[in-house]
Amino acid sequence: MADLFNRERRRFEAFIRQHRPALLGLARRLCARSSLEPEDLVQETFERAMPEFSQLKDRTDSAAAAWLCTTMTNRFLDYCRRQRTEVRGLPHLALVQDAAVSPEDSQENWELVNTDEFQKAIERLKPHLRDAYRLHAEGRRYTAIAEHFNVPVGTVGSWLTLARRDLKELLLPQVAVAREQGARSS
Amino acid sequence: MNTPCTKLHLFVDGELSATEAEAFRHHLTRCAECEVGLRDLLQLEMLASRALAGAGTGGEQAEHSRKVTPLRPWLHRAYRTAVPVALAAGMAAVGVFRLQSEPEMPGEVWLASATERKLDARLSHPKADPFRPYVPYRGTAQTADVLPLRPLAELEERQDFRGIAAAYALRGDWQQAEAFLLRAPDSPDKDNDLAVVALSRGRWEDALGLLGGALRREPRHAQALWNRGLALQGRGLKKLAEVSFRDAAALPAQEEGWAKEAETRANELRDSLELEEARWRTQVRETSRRLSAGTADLKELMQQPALAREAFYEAVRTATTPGAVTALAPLAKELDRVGGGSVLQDYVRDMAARDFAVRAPLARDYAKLLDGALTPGLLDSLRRSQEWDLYFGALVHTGAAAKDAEALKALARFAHASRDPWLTLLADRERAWSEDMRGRASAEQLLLNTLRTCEAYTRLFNCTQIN
Repeated sequence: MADLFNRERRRFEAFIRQHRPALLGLARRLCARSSLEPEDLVQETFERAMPEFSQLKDRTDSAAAAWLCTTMTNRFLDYCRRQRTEVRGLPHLALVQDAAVSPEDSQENWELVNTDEFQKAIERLKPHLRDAYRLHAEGRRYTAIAEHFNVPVGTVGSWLTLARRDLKELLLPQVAVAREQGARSS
Repeated sequence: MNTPCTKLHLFVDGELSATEAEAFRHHLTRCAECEVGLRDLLQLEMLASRALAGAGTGGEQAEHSRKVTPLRPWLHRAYRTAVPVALAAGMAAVGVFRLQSEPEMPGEVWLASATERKLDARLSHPKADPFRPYVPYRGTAQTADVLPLRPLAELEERQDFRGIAAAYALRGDWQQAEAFLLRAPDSPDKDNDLAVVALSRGRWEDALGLLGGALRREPRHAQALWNRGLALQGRGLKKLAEVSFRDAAALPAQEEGWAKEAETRANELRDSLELEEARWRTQVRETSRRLSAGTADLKELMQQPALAREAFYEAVRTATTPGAVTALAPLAKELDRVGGGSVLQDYVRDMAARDFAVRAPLARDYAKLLDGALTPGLLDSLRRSQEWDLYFGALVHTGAAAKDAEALKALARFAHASRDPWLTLLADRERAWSEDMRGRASAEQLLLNTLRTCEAYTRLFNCTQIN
C-alpha cells in the first residue's frame, strides 16, 4: 500500500514539475501589478488537480495542460470577482472550496492540439509575426521586442494580436478534424 | 475605438499599468466576451509556452535537487476534506506544491556565449564572472542582447537577486541592477556589486566606501580587490590602484586570465605613473633652471601656476646666493596673490637671510640630486644642517621618509611650520605611503582626504602628485 502511495506521489510530483513552469509564466503575467501572488495561484491550481489526478494522469499532456490552464483561469477569475465585490473578510478556506472547476468549451478545443501541431502552425505565420511571437514566448516585454525590430511598441501589440488570430485560424480547423476523428472512432 | 475589451491582449501580456490592470480586472468580471477571450488566449499561451519555450521540463525532473516548502496549514485542512483519505495521507506528507526544482539557468542570462566582455568591473555572481578579454563599449553603453524574462522570473523565485542584478548589469541596465541588488541580503558580494553600479556612474568614492566595507569582511575578495583598483584609478589614485591590482593578481585558485589581466593592469598603472612623474620632473627642472638663469617670463609662468610653484621651490632650494633667492621674490608675490597669504614671500625672505657659507654647498648637492645624482650622506647632512627646506625637498624627492619614522616627523613638522598648504599636502601623501600605513584602509582614506583638499585649491597645485 505504501509503495502505491509513494509511486502516486512521485507521479504527481513529476506532473507538477512538468507543467509548473508554463503555468507560473502565465500566472506572473496575469498577476502583474495585482496583490495576487502568482505562486499562490499556481499552488491553488495544483491543489485542485490533486483530487483529479487519478483521471488527469491518464490524459494526454495537451489535455492535462488545458485542464490546468482552465483551472487556473477559474481561480484567477474568482480572485477578480472577490476583489470587485470586496468580500475580503471570508476565510481562505471558504474561498478554496468555492466555485467548482468545470471544463469549458475553450479547454475542450485546446486539449486536442499538441505541441507539434503548434510548431507547424507557427512556421506558417508571416515572418515578422512569427519572430515577434517567438520573442514574446521567450518572455520578452513589448519594449524589448520593439527595440529588436526597431518598431513602435504599439506595433508589437498589433503583431502579437495578429499572430494569435492567425494561430487560432490555423489550429482550430485541426481541432474540428480531430474532434470528427474522435467521434468516428468512438 | 478604445474600449476595455481592446486591452485584453495587453492585460494577458502584463503590459498594462497598475491602474489599467485593476480597471481591466473589474471589467473582466462583467464582460462575458472578455472572459471567453481570456480563456482562449491563455490556452493558446499555455500551448505556446510548452511548444516554444521548453516549458515541458519533464526530462529534468527527479534527479535535480529541490526544495520543498511545506503546505500551509489551511491547505492541509482543505486537502483533508477534499481528498480521499488514503491518497491525502500519502501526498500531504510530501508537502507537494512549492517544488522548487532548480533547473540550470540558460547561460545566456549572463551572456555565456560572449567571447569578450564589455564590462570593466567584476561582478560577484560566479556565472557573471568568467574571464574574457575586455573590449570597451564603443558608442552606446547598452548591449543589444535583450534579457529573457522567464529565467529572471525563475531567479526571482529563488531570491537570487544578485544573479538578476548581474544579468542586468552585463547589459548596462544599471537602474534595474541596483533595484534588485537592494533586495539582496547584506554581504560583501552585495557591496561589491553595488560598487560596480557606482563605478558605472563614475561615483568613485561611493564605490570605494562599499568596497572598503566588503574587503574589511573578506580581505581576499577577488572581485572587490579588482573593482577597488578600478575605483582608485578612476579617482586618480593610481599608485594605490596598482597595489589593489597586484593583490588581485596574487590571489590563489583563480582563473589565469584574471590573474594575468590584473598583473597587466598593475604594470600599466606603474608605467603610466612613472612616465607622468618623469615628465613632470623634467618640466619642473627645466622651468626652475630658467628661473635660476633669470630667463623665465613671469606672465607665461603664471599660466601654469602649479608648475610655476613647484619650479619656484626648486629654484629657491638650488640657489647658492642670497641674491639668487631674492630674485625669485616677484614670482613668490604673484603666486601668493593667486593662492592668498604670503607664505612664499616669507619663504624667500627667510631663505635669503640664511648663511650661504653653509647652505650653498648643500644647495649644490641638492641640485645634483634633482639631476639624478645622490651625493652619499646627503640626507644626513641636510638633517643635521637645519636647512629644513632642502631636507624636506630631498626626502620627498627620494621617497626616504616612507621608510624612516623620524624623517616623516621632521617632514610633517616643517610642513606645519611653513604654513604652506602644498607642503602639508605633500607631507600627508608621504605619511599615507609610509610603511606603517601602506596598503591599509586608513592610507586610502588619508590620500582621499588629501586629494580632496588639493582639488579645493583649483589649479594651484598639481594634484596628480597626490597619489
